[in-house]
Amino acid sequence: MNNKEVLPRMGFPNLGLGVGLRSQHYDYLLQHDPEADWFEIITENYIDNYGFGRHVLEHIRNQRPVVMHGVSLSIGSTDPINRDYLKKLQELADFVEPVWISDHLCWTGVAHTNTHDLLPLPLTEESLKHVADRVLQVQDILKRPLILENPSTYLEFTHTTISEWDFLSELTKRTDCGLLLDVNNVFVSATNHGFDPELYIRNIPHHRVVQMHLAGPTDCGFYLVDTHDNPVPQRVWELYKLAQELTGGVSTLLEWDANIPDFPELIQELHRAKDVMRGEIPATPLFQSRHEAVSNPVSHQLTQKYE
Amino acid sequence: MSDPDISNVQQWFTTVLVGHGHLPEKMARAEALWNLRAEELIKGDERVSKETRMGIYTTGYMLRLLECMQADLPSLYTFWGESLFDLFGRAYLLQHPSQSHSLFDLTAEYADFLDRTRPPAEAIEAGNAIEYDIPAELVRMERARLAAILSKGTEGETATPDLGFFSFFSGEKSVLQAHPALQLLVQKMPLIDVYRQLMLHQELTIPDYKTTYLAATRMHFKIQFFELTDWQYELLHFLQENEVEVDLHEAIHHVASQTQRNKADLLSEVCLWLPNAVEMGLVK
Repeated sequence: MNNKEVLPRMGFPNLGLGVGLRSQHYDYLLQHDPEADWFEIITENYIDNYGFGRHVLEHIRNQRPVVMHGVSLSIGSTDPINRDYLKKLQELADFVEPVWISDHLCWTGVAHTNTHDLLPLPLTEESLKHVADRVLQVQDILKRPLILENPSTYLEFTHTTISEWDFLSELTKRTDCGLLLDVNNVFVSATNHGFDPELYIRNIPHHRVVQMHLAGPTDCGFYLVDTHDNPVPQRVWELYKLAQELTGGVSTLLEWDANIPDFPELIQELHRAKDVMRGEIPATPLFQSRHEAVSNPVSHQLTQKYE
Repeated sequence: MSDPDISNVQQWFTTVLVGHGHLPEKMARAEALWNLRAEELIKGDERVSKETRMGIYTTGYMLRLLECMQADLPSLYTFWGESLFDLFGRAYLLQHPSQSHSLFDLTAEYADFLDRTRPPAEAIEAGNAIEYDIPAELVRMERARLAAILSKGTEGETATPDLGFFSFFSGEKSVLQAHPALQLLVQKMPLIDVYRQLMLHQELTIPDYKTTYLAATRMHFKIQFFELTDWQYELLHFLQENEVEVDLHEAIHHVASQTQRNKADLLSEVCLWLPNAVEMGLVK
């Protein structure tokens, strides 16, 4: 077990307020100042992409720090680690020179199936050992610490014995990995499973938190879905303020992956984070819908334009 | 029930997600395969049942990937409309679960799937057959467009090829390469106009069957389709297959034999066409 003292943010810089680089904003970003302090890219969106997307990424990379956020590492899967994927990820990292590389505490499929979803793990000692072994392997290959995000979950397994915050805490001790604290995901999972989101945030290792995510979920009546398609609701802002205070301040990213607004509107929502830290919490209600909601929307990764 | 191992749980979960049928059928199949029962595996409460919780994942799985197919295949979506698009999309995803980190690969087998599921000729009303062949060909066009979007291009390059127009006649060696973004197709009917009409939501003019040679390529990050003649297609195909720079003499010899054309006539046509082909992003 690793007991060494950890620097705040594991020594990574606080990049300020950032947004995801999305194809809907490419033209705007080529013609305007990027405004955000930094950008996050979805790794899979730029692997094997040598077209306009790569061109815009290079343009942004020359002006702002960029981090790489993956959705297909499948660190919890019982399939062998996909070394072809890691090779491509490393090639992209060589081009981007990201400040850090993150993915999720999840699995995306087995038997070579990729469901393109972030699926929940049974949180047991067996899972912890399994994930820790794989994190160490990936870190050895990438030669850098992996930053892992807590997912939104909609079910728990009956044989789960460890809380998610304890699981992540122990994982960071065993592997020296960092955390991407998605405050919205804490809120979604806490609502869906009936735990206290503040208890979660108070009990993760704060010096291991390198980045935070903010997003707007959808209230489907008896449960929440992580839809990334609305403004950040009041309760998520409150949890964000708590998390920022406990961590001493870390890089913040606003995720918006469906019904994506124009870039200036996105930046306006992002900058609410400054008001929040001054104690001015927006009274944004939780978006409610009776329609089927899609979690983890990914179609924004596909380029669409007809001229 | 003793605690199931993580591998068994993931096999069970994946079987439920990607399997066909309604949720109870999916869970029954997964139980039979992996000897795990949802009621023993998943926590539920009076507020949200175990089935509802699993349903969030199974519903999300299909809707998420259908959204991706719609984003990648907009012309087909317009051609069919939502319900038919979803019907075939669901059937395809059941038979071809994604095996790649890349969403571009999601529709890689879709055109062939549509060909396989096309009704037999005797079941189609006379004169309507082409409407059953257009969907797969539209998918092939969309795939070519996407490949051109993602591939390496010539943006940022300043060098223009020495076409060797005069040196060609003098017998000196001239070399050419296919444009790196070039995608070539042989289609059953001409679809460039149909594609444009679909994307602009204009009235559709259904064409007649006619073997059509098509190129999708990219210049200055803009994607365009071009209809080619048979010899243009053969020449570009030859350049693509050889990848590295090709001697024009060798290429002309090959194309003349493939298209049974007179070599001297072909030479004249190629030399007149090449400057345009460079402008169009077909060769470099």
